[in-house]
Amino acid sequence: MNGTTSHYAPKIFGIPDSVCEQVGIIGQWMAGDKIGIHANSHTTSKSSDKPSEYVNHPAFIHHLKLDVVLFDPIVRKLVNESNGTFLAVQKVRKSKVNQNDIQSEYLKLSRQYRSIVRACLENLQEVASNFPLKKEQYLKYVAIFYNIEYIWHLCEILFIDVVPGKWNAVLPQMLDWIRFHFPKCEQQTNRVVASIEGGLSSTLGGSGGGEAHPEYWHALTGLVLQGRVGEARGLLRLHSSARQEAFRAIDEALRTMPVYTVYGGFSVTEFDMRWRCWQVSCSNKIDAGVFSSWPELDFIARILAGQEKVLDEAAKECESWEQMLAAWLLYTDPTVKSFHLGSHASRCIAQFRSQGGKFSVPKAVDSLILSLMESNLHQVGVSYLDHCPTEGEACLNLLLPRVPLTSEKRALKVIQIAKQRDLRHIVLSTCKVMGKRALARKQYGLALAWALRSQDAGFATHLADRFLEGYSASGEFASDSHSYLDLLDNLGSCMLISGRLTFLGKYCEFHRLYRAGDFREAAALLVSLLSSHLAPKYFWMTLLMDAVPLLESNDVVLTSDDTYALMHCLEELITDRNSEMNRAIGHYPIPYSEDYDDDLVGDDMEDEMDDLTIDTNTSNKVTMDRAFKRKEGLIRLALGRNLARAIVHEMSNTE
Amino acid sequence: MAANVCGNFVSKKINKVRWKPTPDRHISGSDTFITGSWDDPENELALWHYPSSDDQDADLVKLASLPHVGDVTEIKFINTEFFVCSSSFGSVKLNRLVNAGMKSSWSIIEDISWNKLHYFDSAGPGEHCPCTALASFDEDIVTVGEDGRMVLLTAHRKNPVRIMDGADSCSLHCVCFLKYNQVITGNLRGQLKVWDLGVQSHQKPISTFMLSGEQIQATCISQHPTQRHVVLVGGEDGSLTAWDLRQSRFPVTLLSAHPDAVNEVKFHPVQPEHLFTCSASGELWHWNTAALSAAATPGAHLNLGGMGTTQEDDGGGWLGGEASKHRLEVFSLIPALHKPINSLDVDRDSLVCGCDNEAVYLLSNIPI
Repeated sequence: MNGTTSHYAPKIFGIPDSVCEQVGIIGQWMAGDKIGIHANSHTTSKSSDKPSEYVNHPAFIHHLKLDVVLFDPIVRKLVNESNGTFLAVQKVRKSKVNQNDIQSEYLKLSRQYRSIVRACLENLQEVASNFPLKKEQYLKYVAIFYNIEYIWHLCEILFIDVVPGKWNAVLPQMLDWIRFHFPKCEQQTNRVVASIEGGLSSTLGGSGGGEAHPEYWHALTGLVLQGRVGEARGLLRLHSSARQEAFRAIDEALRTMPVYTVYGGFSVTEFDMRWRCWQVSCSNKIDAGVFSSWPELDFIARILAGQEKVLDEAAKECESWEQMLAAWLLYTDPTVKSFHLGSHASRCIAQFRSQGGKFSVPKAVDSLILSLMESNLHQVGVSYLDHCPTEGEACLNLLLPRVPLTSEKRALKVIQIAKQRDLRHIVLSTCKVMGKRALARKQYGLALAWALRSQDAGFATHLADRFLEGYSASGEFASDSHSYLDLLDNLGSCMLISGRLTFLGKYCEFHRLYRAGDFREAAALLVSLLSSHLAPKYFWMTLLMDAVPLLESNDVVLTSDDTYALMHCLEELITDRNSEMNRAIGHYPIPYSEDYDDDLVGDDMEDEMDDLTIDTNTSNKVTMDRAFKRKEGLIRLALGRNLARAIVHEMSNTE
Repeated sequence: MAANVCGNFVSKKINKVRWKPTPDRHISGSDTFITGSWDDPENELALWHYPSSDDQDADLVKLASLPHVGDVTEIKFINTEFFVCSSSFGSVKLNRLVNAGMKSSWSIIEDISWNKLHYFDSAGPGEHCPCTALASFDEDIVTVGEDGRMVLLTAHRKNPVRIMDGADSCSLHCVCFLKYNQVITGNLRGQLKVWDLGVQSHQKPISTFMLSGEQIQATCISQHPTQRHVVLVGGEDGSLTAWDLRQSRFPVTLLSAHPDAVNEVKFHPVQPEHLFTCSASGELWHWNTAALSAAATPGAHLNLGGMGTTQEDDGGGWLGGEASKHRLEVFSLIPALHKPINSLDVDRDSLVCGCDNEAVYLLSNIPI
């Protein structure tokens, strides 16, 4: 496929798959610009209910991908290089330099852009001539980019390279443009000259003048139409009758033709006057019959005199209407202003058409740019959309989340792009996707990192619960392969995004203190975790069990107040549990509810592990009950003993 | 003298560039380098030749290329002909540059391929675990990946020497050798860990420290070529932190350098007072600490043998902390590009950098 395919001519692709051929296909958009296609027979309520007849046929899924001209290696250089120019233009636009400087800056960039396109054309042509297999395709590309440069050159003349203060004169540049893009008459001239030189060397001193070459008059007319006075005169001199009166007259006319330049030193009116005088003198010569014996010269003289009928006739010497427009302007309205171009142009188009010429206007670059976004060149697309006034951001919003996140590097780039543009929801959703993916792969540490990145409190809480559950089950913060302590010990202020995570962080800190032998601080932290209700209820039992060694330690590390606080927690836990039991008994048989289980997760620790294998609800419940009772007793005993010691200790201290 | 800049568009987003070391390293600089691309349906490793450093308009010549599965995430030369590269598909390859005698007949040949060194334990269909970085010390290679694994390889053995599952509970993003048996890694949360590879039994880092309180990814690590205890770490937020590994709880110097992620930090191999950084914001900076080290040395001169030999002395200028910050000289080597510069490499007075705008920029005569 290529960019020039028009909307009206759909391209048809055959899917090389026998089943697809017989049954029909169905397709679905995949990420970006790909479509997945597979065989599918259409079933309705009326189809008979029987196995498909293609049961044992091999089934394929075909991926179709748009092949856009912009992904060609050579064209990619153009895309990236011109993207640089584009951004440079945007930067100039936003800078606060004065108007004149901006204008010249624009002109510089425009020329730079055209030279980039021309370099690309050169590369394409090189490949086209060196690789016959790619020739057709690359010549097509050449045509596309040639037109781009061609149109842009005109835009540059009309809109960018305007000389302020002067009178919007466009003709000189228009002629340059035409001369550059329609070198046919120049080539013809070269051939004529070459033939004469060849002739001179072979038939020494032969009578052959330039006119012997069949292209002589075409070349001459072409040069005159493009206003190439010097070259035209040179060509005239090559004619064998160049010394005749008619030739001398036309040569004189060309020599005296006033050439209009922006900095020529004439005012418009002055130039106009000279121009009119010159044309009148041309007409006079025609009327005097100076050229009557040379119809070709007569034709040229009439062009110079600006006779409309003759100029219209001259259209057949032109390859395009633009070329004709330039000639028309040169000989009828040389001081034309850019805003009058329109009417002249439409006249020339009409005339050119009536002469049987045809022209086309290549367009539709927009769809290409969009397809850019869809694929791997998304950064280029982004910088383009950045500068689209309204639709740009909307497009980004839709397209950014569709960039496939195959690696963290890619995800981080998307986040970076979104952050720079204040698209917070895209940052969040990207983090969420990465977090969920890590969760699915059981990389809880990584998932938490992503949750923290996006400040996603809900997700962080969920993950903290997972860690705590894991701890309740195994007694450590680790999975089969990972230890999470590197993460949990270094949460820092990040833990504050979720209460559960804060608890988790603090609980790890408790263990750290405990391991370091810092019992007093460990105990204070434990009590504060419980009494502040930061700890989830299902974890209270574990915390209370953690308190037992502290309560039983040689030094009194928990004060009487602390002990009361812990007692209070224990009582609350038991009250909760009793009311739970009562509710459960009401609905016989005993339901094994989720929260009920939650409350007891703390139980299945160390010594009870073997009991867990009994799997009927009732017996399970009974063993749990027994475990709970045993722990309760243990904790009560420790609390009581510590309270006694603490009171004695405190009393003796106060005295 | 200002540097000559020569840009070449190569039709691939370049993720890594590395000069090929020359056999006579002390006599001549390198004019050949390797690039690795990313984010393309067909990525490749390519060997380039830069004809002459005098001719400014000289075009790069592509000497050889090799298709690469997945993004090229890191390239390291082991010697003048062998280099290791890692892939976003979790594999690491040892490649060899072979020259059949003539200038243009180079080829890149795969020598060893360590497939799927990095993997997710429960991956979805078609899901790959990128190997994010690798470091080399002579023939020893350490690779890290998004799975938090660290793998120790050696260039002459097909089987990994050691695999450390779960070296990190997060994804690892950069790694750097400190000594023959010590590496430092950095993860997505900006946590840095120093590992002793000699200790076989337990898998615990020697020390752990955080880049900052926030969750800022450590993007690259570089060790000072002569002051081995000085390590510079680039952050996702564009910060550059200097660490003294002898007291590594907090960074000694913290600079908010680039406006966006620091993608690579490189000391000049023989003149370590020159540092180069490139950033996702499209900037390429040259840091000169000569003034800093000089400032520290005269101090030592003045109070001979006294308190003069301060800590500033042995940090190559990087351990001066707050006081020395504003004495750093920073130059921008090229006008900021519009796309991230992903990688740079420096050899003598030539620097090469690769950018997401699919261009490679060569700078010759950089003022050092």
